[in-house]
Amino acid sequence: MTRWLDLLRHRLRSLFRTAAVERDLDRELRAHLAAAVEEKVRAGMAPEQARREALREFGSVAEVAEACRDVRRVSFVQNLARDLKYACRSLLAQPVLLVAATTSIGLGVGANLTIFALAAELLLSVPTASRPEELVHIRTGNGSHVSYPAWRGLDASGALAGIAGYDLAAGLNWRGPDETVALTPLIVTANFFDVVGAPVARGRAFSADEARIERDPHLLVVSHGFWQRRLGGDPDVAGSRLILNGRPYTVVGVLPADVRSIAGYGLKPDVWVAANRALVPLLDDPKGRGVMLVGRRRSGQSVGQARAALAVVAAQLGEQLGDDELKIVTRVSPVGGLGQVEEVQTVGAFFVVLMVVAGLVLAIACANVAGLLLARATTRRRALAMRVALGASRGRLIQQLLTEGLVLAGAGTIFGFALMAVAGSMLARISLPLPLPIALGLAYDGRLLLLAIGLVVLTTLLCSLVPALKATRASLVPSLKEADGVSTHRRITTRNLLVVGQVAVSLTLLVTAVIFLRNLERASSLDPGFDVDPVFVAQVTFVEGKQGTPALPAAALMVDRLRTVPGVREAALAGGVPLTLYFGDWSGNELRLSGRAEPFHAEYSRNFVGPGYFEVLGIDLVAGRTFTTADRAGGPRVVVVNQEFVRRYFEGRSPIGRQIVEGDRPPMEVVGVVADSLYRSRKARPRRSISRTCRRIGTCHGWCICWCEPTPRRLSARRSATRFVRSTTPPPSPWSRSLRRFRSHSCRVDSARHCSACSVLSERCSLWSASTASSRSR
Amino acid sequence: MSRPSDLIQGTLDLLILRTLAREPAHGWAIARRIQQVSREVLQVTQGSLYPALHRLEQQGWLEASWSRTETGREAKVYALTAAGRRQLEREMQSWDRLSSAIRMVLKEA
Repeated sequence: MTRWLDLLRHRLRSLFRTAAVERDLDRELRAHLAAAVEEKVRAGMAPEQARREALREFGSVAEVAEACRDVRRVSFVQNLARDLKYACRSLLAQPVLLVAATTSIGLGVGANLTIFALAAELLLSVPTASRPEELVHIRTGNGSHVSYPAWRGLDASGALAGIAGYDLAAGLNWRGPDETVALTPLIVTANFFDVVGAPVARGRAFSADEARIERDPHLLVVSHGFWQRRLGGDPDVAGSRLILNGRPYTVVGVLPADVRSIAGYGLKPDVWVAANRALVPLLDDPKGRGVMLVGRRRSGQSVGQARAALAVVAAQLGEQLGDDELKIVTRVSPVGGLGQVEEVQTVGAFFVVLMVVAGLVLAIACANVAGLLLARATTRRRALAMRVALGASRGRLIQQLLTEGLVLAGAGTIFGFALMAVAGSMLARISLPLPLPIALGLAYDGRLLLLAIGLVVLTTLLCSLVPALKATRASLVPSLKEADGVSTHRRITTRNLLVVGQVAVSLTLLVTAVIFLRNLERASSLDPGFDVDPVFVAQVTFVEGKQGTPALPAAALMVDRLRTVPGVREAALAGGVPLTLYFGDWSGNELRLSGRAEPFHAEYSRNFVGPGYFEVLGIDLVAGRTFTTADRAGGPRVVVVNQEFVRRYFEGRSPIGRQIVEGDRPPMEVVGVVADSLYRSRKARPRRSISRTCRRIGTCHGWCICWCEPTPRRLSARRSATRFVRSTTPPPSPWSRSLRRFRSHSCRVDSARHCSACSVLSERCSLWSASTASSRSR
Repeated sequence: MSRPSDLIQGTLDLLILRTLAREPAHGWAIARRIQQVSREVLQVTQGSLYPALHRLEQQGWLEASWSRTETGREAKVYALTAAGRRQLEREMQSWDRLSSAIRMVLKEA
């Protein structure tokens, strides 16, 4: 122990009291010489000769001194400092090289850092909670959601310390001071804040007791963003009232600014609302899947134990509630970290691909810089040779050249961080035309710093090791003579290899990029089966007043009025519009067809549309007729099917006039056949589809209104129609986009009521499957 | 440009430690003494002596102080520390083992 202390003391002394140590060494060697001279004089030599003799015997004083310095082992640090100074000076003298190298490395490093930070945020981030390591996501059966009775049973069983439920819902209308705004609520069970323990910046969170269902709670906690944006940062917000869906709710608290919601994926709900009967009509229905579960383990309970405890309880409860899905606990995984991502393979693979691409970009940058340094080393060969002649070892020269690389890599990384900051602020500013707020914050944390340090080291070695080795291998004499020397006419030189590698990697990247773009271009030029350009879609949500009931007449009224707006050729009401987030249902049913005895299982897409729908989208009628106003509520039940449906289930024979029975519902008559078109996404093959006329649908309160303007570039008409839809009463909260634009942007999270959505990008980038994972079909 | 090394690395350390076990001495005196005792067989050059001395000092086996010699010159005098004495023991033993082993091989093989 004392030895180490001794060693440390000596090293520190050598490092920080360099001058004293050097003087000491000098004195010692001088004393040695003096002693040698003295001895020779005593032996009878003339003083002058004795001195010469002694010096000759001693050899190179400088070399001995250098050897002693080496022994002290701190020369590395001192050399590094000197090399840094020298490298900075010599690089500053060549600003072009400096800028070129810094920019290349910066781009490469910046791409790596940004993608890593994004991946870390999406895949590894931990939601804001107290002791988040104890929290686990719980999934049963095939779906992500369970029923409220199931949640109540699981929580009461005591298998875990507590189990809370949450659901990212859509369609909560807030009557603001000027307009009605659609909010994105996280509907949470009463005990949510007790279990998760998210911190509250202002006011408080609601407790399990005060938010009990029996009390019909109208309580909410608002996000910092909503409080700032919509409530003007009112300091006395706690206790104030908001009108949501026509009912007064009490704000009890405000969450801090940087909350990561339990829903993950950067989703930022506006408000956290306690579940009540008005918001969740299926509160007592053991079949209505309405909540996702998050549980807190008991202290000391491992994830495995938690799973075992839950498995027992869930099996019993599933039996009791008659819910087969509940019987099997499929997943108990810690929140945060890779375990939380439901489709970790696809999402992970996507980021691995991105990282590889970014890595290749960095590799190209390094090759570039290495090339530059190599060229520079050639011009500096004389200087290097001179240093070798003066006694510098090859290791010492390599160290100095590596230091230059380090300076470049450091500067590049700093530039890379700057690029990442820019990319981060751009990412934060992008507002996607979506009903769900998402904010991806890039976190500057220890992991990122570690990566940056790793990248600096890697870049330094990649950039400058080869040039350094090569430059210092040069034979001394020809360089000194400044002759070109007998240059080695080898066919494969380092520089050739470098160039070949660089071209190869660049070409690979280029081809990949071109293929990606081609795919994207082809996807967007794929014929969707209907005319996209002149079509506009507004998603209108009516939730004021009683659930659902007035929605259809109101929407129908809006459509009728919209038809009269100048510039609008045709307008229609629809439950969903293809290629948008709201593309209708994809359902499986027991079907019976007249003329076919056996009922059979069929899967097809289903939509509820009003008169004029096919005309708006330009979907051709093949046989029969489309819907008319006479088909509205009260008339006979009629459907229109597409050609694929006919091919599949009617064996190609004419279905007009035949009847379809869905499960145990009343029979419907086929009145028309339309051409195939795409539904959910651009990639999907033509799907069997059935379109029913709009009738009163009890629980559905969101409708799409689509309209058609033959001259889409006439902005005025579009504006007037949009304004019309916006301003028509009852207060809708529409967001409308030209379908063309809408499609290219519509790739984020769908409302939790619908199953996973998306279009072009979703098939290109499995990233989006991450975002839709939270809203998977139940 | 390899440094001249007349002695196997490690052996020099042993010789220095052994020499200093008798009495503290300065660098020149150590080299001189090794030379004399070995009857001029072992020549310790400055190039290896001083780095070795510094290394041993760093290890804490030697202690250096400045003092005046009997002729009045100043000199950096090295003395063995307690740890240095233990190290000497160890090195002597391992040297004994090594040299007897070598001797055996030379005789028997």
